[in-house]
Amino acid sequence: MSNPSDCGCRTASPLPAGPTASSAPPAGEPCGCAPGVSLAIVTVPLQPWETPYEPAEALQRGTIFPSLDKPFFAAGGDLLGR
Amino acid sequence: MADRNALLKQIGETSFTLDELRLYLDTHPLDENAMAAYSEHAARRRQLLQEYADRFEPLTCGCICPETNGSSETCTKYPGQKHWTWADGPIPWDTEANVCAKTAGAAKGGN
Repeated sequence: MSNPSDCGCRTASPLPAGPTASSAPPAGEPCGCAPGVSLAIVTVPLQPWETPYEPAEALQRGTIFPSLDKPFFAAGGDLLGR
Repeated sequence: MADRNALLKQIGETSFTLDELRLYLDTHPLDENAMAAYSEHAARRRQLLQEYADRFEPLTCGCICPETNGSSETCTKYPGQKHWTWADGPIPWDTEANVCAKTAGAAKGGN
């Protein structure tokens, strides 16, 4: 049974060296995972209501909820190049 | 008021907002704010659809009303005659007509 605070992101046996070596930190060093967090268990908070965008802007942004408006483009703009 | 394309744009925007609100309300069935927003935008969409049908052609079967549709008689084969208005207006994939429907409507009227 692994250590309860250990999130399990370290592999039990060290992976063979080489380009595909695991990126897990060496034993003893903190792995950076938040305490009590388990791999592969996702927690999604219930979305709160918020003042939505106006319809015209919402269609441009792709959502009516500002907190869900996350344009994943390197330049921070959106597909329409604004 | 706005011409055909501006009206279509507003209908699309309002419809998108309703889609988003529906998704939200599916997971928040007791959210009063969301329900109020939905009612407001649903009424707005009905009004826009009705206006579009009255002035141009019915977009949905619920708007088919030969007595009141197409008062501006654009894009109809039977201007001035009472007729089944469902086929009026440019075919949705007729992009050229839809882009400048106002001119296309004027040129196409009656033939």
